[in-house]
Amino acid sequence: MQREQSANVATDLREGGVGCFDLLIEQYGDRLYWHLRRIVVQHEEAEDLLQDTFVRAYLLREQFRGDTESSLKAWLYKIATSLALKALQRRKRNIFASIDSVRGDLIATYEHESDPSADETLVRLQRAILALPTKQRLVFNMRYYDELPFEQISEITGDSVSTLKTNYHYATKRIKEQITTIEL
Amino acid sequence: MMKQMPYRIEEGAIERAKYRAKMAVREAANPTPAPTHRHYALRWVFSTLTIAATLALALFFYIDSQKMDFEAFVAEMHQAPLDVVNDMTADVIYYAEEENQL
Repeated sequence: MQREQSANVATDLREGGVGCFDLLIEQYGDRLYWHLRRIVVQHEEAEDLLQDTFVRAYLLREQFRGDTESSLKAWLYKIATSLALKALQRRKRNIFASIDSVRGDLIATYEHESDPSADETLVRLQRAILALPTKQRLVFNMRYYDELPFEQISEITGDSVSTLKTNYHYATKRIKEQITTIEL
Repeated sequence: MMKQMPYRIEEGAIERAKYRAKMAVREAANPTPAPTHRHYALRWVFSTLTIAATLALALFFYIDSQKMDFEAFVAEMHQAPLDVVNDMTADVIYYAEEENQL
């Protein structure tokens, strides 16, 4: 039933009804907001990117070729991720710097954006995640928080499943090391 | 079940973000038509005509007020007492009749 309904949503999406996008925003808005927030950290930026994601999806709806919920979800994640990475690129201090050079800024921003009443372990985990290289951070977030299968992450990032598994492995290893170092 | 996120967030912020996204999609679906060249040309013509009309009106009122001032002065002079007229013409130098002969 769920699958059938999603297939209908995918067909409606291609036909371009605005009402269908309301449904889509209700269905994926929360997940995508948190996905974006974990990448850019700031609420205002995540909110702007969420708008841009759905507007972009609306404008590109003709190009959507999938007909299942998972392909629709992967398509939306792909648009959101690409917009968030572009936002990070704009934060770089110079054009020659790598996107990973914004990690320091992100951790500093997180100090203002963290929930003061949150569990200290969760805050520490978040700091460790923000210290990861961007690619590992993306894979870790999508696997750990969004619980997406590697095949779907592969559709979103365009990397092979084995590369993603390696990235995830290194990410978890680094996070463990980071948390242990902080504890010591 | 979504994992807990240790981020500061106001109550209802995500709902507001979703509402704004819906509005943004609606705007993208019905964009305001962009002004055409004809629109711009008409706007320029209208602005130029308005400025010209305003300047013409200002000039008319200025000339009219100058004329009114002069007419009022002449009328006042006609009714002015003789000593006032004499005072005003005191600086006039009168020459003897013969000096005015060629």
